[in-house]
Amino acid sequence: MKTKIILFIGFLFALSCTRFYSLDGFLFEPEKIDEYLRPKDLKEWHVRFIIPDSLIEPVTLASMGNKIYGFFVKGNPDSITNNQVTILYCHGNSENINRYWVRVEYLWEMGYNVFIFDYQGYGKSEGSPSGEALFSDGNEALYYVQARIDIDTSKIVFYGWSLGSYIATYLAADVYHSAALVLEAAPASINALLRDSGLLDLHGSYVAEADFDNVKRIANIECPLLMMHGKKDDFVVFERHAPLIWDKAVAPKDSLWVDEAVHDNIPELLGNLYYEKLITFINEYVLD
Amino acid sequence: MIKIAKVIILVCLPIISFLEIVSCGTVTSVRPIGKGRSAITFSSGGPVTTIFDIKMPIPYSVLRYRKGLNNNIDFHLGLHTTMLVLGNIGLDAGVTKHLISQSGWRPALLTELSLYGLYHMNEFSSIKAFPAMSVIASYQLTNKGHALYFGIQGMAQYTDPYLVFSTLIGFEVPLGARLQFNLETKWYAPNEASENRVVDYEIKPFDYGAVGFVWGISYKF
Repeated sequence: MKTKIILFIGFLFALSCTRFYSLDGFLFEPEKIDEYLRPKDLKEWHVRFIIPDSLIEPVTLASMGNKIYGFFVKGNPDSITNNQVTILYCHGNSENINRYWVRVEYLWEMGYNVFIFDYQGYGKSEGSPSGEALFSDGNEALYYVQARIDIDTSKIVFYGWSLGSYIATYLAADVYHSAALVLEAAPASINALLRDSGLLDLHGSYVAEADFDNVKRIANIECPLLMMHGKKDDFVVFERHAPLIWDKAVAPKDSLWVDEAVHDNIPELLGNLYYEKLITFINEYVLD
Repeated sequence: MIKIAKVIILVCLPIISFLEIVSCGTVTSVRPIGKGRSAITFSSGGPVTTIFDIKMPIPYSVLRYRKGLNNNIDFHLGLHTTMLVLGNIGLDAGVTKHLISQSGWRPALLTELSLYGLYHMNEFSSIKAFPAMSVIASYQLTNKGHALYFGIQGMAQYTDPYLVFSTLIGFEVPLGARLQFNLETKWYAPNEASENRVVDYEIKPFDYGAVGFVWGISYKF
């Protein structure tokens, strides 16, 4: 009997050492496309086409053996001070760069250089998304920006929206001490997402490979942090996520909790206030 | 009166059972299996949600072994096979105690105490344990062992919400001398608002909790 029990336990451990399936796929909603920034594809996102083509530079990088695509947008030449700053923009979990181009316009209007890239499996980028792939893509994007001779590498700001917050926080905590970190509608962690859906305090690793944990990493961040979150966010619910990150973050930190905003409309809802908040934060902590 | 109720239930049973099979489901111990006897149960189900564009109960499955310690108490050990597929060890162990026998309209009562444990490979910080308790009332409807049961299950944890509970109603259908089939409908966390959850549950009565289905098949020996 004792031998059978030992064999059974050994069998369980052997089986559990192999993950036959994970739920990571549910984290990503990529959309493949043949071409970027075609006006007909951008109209639904209220893109204003304000950035001159001469300032938009298509970029391809290699990540885990796959080609990934991005765009480097040179800051508005009229804004001599702000175009010293480069925003590395990590987008959300759905679609591709087209969906987020309007955000690039906002940041460009403020005068900043912006680098936006598609993760593996998104847009034209090869491969398929995973936690490892997204972190690798983030690393490659950062190396690319750092290697450019026309930017000030001491003034790189990581900006992560929703899923992109995991990459931005990972880069700031584990890879490079950026000048600042901006998180918009950031989920706390996969643990928090699990508890949100199942109420039980389960460990994220039970269901997903991706090491997506903003709460764990935020304590290791040494740069100034700006957090933005809509209090009516019906996807990453404010009460169940934002305080978990905020409480662990160390100073200097600033917040923008927007009463009426949902998951994806903080800039649109706030208008000039969004611009002012971001510019003031960057002026204070990056340009000062 | 009792006879009419039995007839109604027995007529409705196949129809409801069919619906539950189609939409998937989950199960619990209803009565002790008797001293020295054993049973193996495979059950699967959970709250209904959309998976790959199909509305279905989350297919969370458990393989459970039961052993009758005496005529009133069973011991059980469960292996959570879905967790195994995901690279984890999920086990539960506990006892079921028969409390009151059925008499007229008074149902039989039993309680089950279990400890659930989960662990992800090579990650000791992932170890979690949850004590659980359930109270199940049951009516045996026929001499063959058809039974209707209902009850409440609670699981405790060290964080808010400290108690997660569900209510259930189910049927037990004997399939010969050794086999038995169970179907349950559960209302998970009926006290928790189900709005704005990451997983969009399909059946949310009054926007609270989530309804799901579980089926199970047992072999006694």
